[in-house]
Amino acid sequence: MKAKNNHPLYCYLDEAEIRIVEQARHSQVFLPGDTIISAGDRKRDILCIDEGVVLIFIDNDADETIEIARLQAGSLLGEMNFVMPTHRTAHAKALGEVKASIYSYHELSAILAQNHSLAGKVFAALNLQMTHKLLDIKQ
Amino acid sequence: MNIFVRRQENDLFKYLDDKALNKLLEASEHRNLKAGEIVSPQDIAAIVIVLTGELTRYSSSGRQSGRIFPGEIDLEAGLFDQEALNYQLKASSPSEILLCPYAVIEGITEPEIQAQIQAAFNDSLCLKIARLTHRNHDES
Repeated sequence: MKAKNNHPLYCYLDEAEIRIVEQARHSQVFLPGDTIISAGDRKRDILCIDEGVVLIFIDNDADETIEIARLQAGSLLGEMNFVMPTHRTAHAKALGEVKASIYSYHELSAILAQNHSLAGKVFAALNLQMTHKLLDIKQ
Repeated sequence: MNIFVRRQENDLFKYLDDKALNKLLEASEHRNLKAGEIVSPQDIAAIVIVLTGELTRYSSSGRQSGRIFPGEIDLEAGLFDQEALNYQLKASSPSEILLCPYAVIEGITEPEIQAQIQAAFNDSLCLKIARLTHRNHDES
């Protein structure tokens, strides 16, 4: 599958297909320090950072905060929970103002269930993201 | 994502109906591996499906980095980034495997089958990340 653009979720979609997926997209602005995701949440929405930087961190047994990563614009968050029903494994907090696109699990699932061509391309985009995550973890 | 229901035992073809399954099985190569035999991902350009036995992953530095059991798949990440194939697979015991070439997966034209295969990769890659991150957390 050939990438058509650099968007983490739309990379295999043409403009007409992007318009369909955007029906499940909701924009949200987070202020500096706002919690975007809390560890333990069972929500399954996918988030794409459109602008700003997001801090990913966990709390260890001594209740200390351990930074895992800083995600820049163009990064996806929550794609693993979208694929498999589990809980969020880390916290995400806005470092400065963050603009994000939130893709509702239920709305996106309903769209993809009706359009398998689109589903294959969105799933492939998620696979590309997860492959890069796998490579990052191994390094 | 629950838009498909599991219909087959192995993790690559899990969401396919019998007709699609048979078509992809026909395009796959069956191999018997002796204990200790090595499979180099770069040489085969295929998804590996373990039928019997067990494969062990070894990183380029020789470190053991996971095991693949019957029904499970490996090398799917190589479809998305060749860099992900920087390791070797070794049969831990006499093993039977199926190789489904990347070219076959890329050549699927039916949207539903394409989506079902990509959904199977979603599950498999997600599990691999979860295993690695949980192991890293356990070690920290």
